[in-house]
Amino acid sequence: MCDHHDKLRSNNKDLQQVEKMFDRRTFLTKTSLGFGALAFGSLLNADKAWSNVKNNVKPDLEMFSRNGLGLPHHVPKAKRAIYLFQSGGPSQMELFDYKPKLRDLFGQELPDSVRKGQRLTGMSADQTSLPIAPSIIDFKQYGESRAWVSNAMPYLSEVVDDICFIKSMQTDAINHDPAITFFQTGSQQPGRPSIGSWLSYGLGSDNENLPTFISLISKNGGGQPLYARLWGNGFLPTEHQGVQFRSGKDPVLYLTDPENYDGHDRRNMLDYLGKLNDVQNSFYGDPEIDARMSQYEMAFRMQTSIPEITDMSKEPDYIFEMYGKDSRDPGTYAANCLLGRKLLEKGVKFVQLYHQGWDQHIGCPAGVLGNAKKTDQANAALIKDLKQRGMFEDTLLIWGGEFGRTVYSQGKLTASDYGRDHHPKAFTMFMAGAGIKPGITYGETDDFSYNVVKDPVHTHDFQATLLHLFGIDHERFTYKHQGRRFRLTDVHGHVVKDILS
Amino acid sequence: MNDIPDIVLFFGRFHPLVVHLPIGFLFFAFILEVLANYQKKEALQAAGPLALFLGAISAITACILGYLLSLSGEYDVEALDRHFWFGIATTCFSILAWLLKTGKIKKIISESFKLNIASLTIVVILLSITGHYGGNLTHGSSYLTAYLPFGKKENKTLAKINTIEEASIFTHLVNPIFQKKCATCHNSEKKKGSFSLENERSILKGGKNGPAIIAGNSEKSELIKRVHLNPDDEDFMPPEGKTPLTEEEIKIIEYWIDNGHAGFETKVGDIETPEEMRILIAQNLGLIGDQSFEGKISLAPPISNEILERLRLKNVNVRELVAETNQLDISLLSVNNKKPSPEEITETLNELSKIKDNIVWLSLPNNGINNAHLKIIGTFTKLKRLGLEKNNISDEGIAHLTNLKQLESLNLHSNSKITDKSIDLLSNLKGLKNLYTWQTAIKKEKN
Repeated sequence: MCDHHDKLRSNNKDLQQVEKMFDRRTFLTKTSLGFGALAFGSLLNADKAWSNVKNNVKPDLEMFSRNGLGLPHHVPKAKRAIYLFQSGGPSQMELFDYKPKLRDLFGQELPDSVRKGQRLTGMSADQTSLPIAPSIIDFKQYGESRAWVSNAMPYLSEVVDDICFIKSMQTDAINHDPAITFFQTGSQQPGRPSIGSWLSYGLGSDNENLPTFISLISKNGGGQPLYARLWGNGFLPTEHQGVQFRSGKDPVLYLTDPENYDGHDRRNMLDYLGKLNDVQNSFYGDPEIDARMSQYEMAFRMQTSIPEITDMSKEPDYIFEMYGKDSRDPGTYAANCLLGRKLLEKGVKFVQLYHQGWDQHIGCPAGVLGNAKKTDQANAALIKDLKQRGMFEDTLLIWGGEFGRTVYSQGKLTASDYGRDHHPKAFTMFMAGAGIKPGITYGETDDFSYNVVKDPVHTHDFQATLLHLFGIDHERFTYKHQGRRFRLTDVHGHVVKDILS
Repeated sequence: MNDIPDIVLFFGRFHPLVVHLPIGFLFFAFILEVLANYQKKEALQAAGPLALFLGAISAITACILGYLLSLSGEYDVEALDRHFWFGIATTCFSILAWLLKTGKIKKIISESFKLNIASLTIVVILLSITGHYGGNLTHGSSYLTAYLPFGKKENKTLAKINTIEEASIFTHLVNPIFQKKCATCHNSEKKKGSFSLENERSILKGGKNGPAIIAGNSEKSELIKRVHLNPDDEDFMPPEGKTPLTEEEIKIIEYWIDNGHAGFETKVGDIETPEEMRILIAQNLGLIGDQSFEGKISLAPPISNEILERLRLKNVNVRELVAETNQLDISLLSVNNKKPSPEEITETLNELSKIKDNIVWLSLPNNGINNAHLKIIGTFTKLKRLGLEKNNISDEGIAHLTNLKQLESLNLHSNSKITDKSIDLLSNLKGLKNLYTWQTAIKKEKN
């Protein structure tokens, strides 16, 4: 404390006034309280200090190898994950959940025995009729696993034997905002940490030069908005929030030095800034100051690590061809998949992609086909690319939206067109890669793709399974905030053991 | 409770409540006496006799209730006797002190401060001793000192073991559960239900409802029956307010009784143990986290912080595969296009070879690893996953890897000099499940 004068010496008159505030009295108050706190702290830690457990790991070492949380709980299958979030709610009936019997029911009223009074959104609740709309997109079976895939996803059909389809997904929310928030944070109300933040907090970084958790939003989607809280840290320390890259040529801005500045003394500048922040921190103890300091350092390291990763010039042509021609256009879904793969290769733990535009209230077949065209080739390419690089065995790939869509048509049903409303009670997701059984289909829906009839998988079950693959028991991974312990899965969730390899 | 009327025990159980009254009153009387002497206040003088009187009366009550409680026969006779006589002595002295204070026996000895304080001091000392013995009866004699910050007996900890086979079922697994969850009531001093878990003999002897354990038949064993009861059941153990046994703990005790025939010397390795049980045991012994690590559970040797620190400075990322197993997942990701020089890599690998028995996963992509480096890596025999993609390796180097018998996954992609010869070299690694050869000169496919 007493050397603050050295640290804060300034030529500015106003600042000199501030410096004088560190007078004898302040010094004595601060230090005496400080010693008190020190003694108290050691009291609280007494069980550690006196116990037999050898806890001689230095704090900085603890940070990088033993995080003190007792994680992982068991041997992880996944070292990293890429979550291809299909925002809007892709229609399961146009993509994976083949319901041929619906053809005969075209235009008929959805039976009450199927709907069972299920809550509808305000958009179709007032409809006088809920006519059944069979998919006009055809399906075929593929691979050794004979998985059903619609003609909308021709590329994906080539890799079905690497995929586990979950046709019995369920969620609690019926509108986009709560439903996405629910999927990404385990709660419909904003304020909880997202999946990636939990992983960052629990497992730490594999490459200190890059953020542990990065989110990418494709520019060739559109529709329902996304919000920063979906990759937010909630109540976890701020450095665990996802870093969003821009969807364009420069995913991270201001990496290059401004004109007339060579950057040589930046290290000095940051060291000095760090000292100032330290002073501030010792006075206020605000954890946000820690976060800010660590983010300044991260930004500094990213100045050199990011250009290397975002430089696509070294990618061979056949890779671009594999991901599709969009992949040459930075910010598109395909380009983000490719970028995601590069980030994973460099030790980023969790890459969260978003593609908006799956919200087909009207023009469902065309909308689905359009989005599939933008995403299908890249999805399949990503799987193949991870496989050939040997990353598929420890990388978890997830594809899915926040809910599914209704079997009945929202708005007018014609022979070639219909819309579909939000449907939380049954929809399809797929997972692949680390620890996931390849080439299986899990769960079943009824003939209307309306209710789950076998092996339901709730959002919390999915989250529990995801954590399990990372070696984490979701029930034991908690963070205490405002007097209670919080989990990603709240008080729910069961690991879906049947889909684990 | 045999021939003792319930009403006796009903009142007897008020003893632990009532004993606190004489403790409070008599201590307070002592404090009043001391204060009164120094402050010379009338009020303080006047309060002394009352405090002593109440103390004496409540002490008598506590004695009577204590006697009623002792009739239950749940306590060790010797320890009970001590508490009993000290309790009576305390009561007698407190009556004496009251008589002295109030001057009722002035005729014999003249009243003085010294006499009063002396009698009160004796009362306080007796009170403390009685209280201590009483506490020992209720909580067990080790209760008070169990968390003593110094002078702890280190050797009470069990012999260190590295594999579950070495573990003695009773000593390492069952007894710790007994001591943690049962022995506060079932010990030699406080034999609830006349049952003590103090030693082999007392365990085999059982309690007043007969033997607690029937070797080879956990279902018939009273101890197991009791812990399986509905928690609301009167006979459920441990009783309300105490932490019940977990499912895992019950399973371990059942395993000891059924598979281990309740032997006190039997080791896990001596008998047949189902896989599920092995995992449970390993967890219980703290050898692993949640899951069996490919069946073979062993704790890797400890790692010095100096090595970790040096590795950190070399940008090596070190993670524990499962917390507190010392089994490591190590990666070195080239930073900012700056590949380390071959010399630096050699240095790093030499550092790593000091902890080679800890390394289970190793990932060294794009680091300019050459054949000479593989010679060092070839000694890391605990490796299960090895990532050598985008390096500078040829078949010669692969020859060094043939000792890695535990290897399950090997990534060699983008090492253009690797040919089919490597496949033959690696074919004797029977455990190898995944071999990645994209962009090498290998023609054959192998999985």
